[in-house]
Amino acid sequence: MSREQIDWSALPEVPLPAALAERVHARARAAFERGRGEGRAADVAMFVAVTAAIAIYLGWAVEFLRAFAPT
Amino acid sequence: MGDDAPSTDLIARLRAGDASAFSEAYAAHAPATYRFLRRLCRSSALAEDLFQETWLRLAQHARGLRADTELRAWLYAVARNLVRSHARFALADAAGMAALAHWWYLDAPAPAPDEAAVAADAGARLVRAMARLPIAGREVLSLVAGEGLSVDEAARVLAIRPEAARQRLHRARAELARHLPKEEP
Repeated sequence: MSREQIDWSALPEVPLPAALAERVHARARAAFERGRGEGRAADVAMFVAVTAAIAIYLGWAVEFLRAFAPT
Repeated sequence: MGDDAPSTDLIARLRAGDASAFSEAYAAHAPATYRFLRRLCRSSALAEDLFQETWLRLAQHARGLRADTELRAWLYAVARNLVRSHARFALADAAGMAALAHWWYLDAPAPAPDEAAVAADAGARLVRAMARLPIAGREVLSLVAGEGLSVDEAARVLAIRPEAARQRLHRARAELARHLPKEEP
């Protein structure tokens, strides 16, 4: 049988079962929304951490320079 | 994959965390993703598990997608990689051939008896022949013959050069033709 004789239209349809579709959609969308929330929380945490690190460094630098200041 | 403009907009919204975009992507691509997996896996239970895992991967990685991502190809590639990594096909290849012909018809509506007999016979022979191909052959045939992708698009999904995809397709078609039984006179 040559490739031209292969009847691809005979390939059976493979419908997505409705129950499976609903279940997977609900789980995946929940995971997507959870990831969005976690992403925002991570952004806020990163901002707070960077700001705190800069503040601590500046505080230390001020104290360090004050030690050399003429009395 | 001719829906590039809507896909670009969809990708932008997915990257922004738009949950309605996720649902739109699911509505547009879930049936094809499932069909592709059912044609690659010889177990419907495995196909369903990997279908869910594919969409969980999108949920996990949507914010990091590149702006020019072709979503359908991305989903096919994830699905294909999941099949490949699933215990080195231990489960995918262990199921029997008879089960394969059965599960393709589980969800299909019942046509008229005469038409059903003819169509089921032709379809079952094709399914059984495809099931005898190695995974590389099933992949490229499912993408090109089953999903209607061009060879270049299939090559991108499979992460190979177009020429290699063409050769793989040619070999798969030839092997499939050898496995298809001759028509009864």
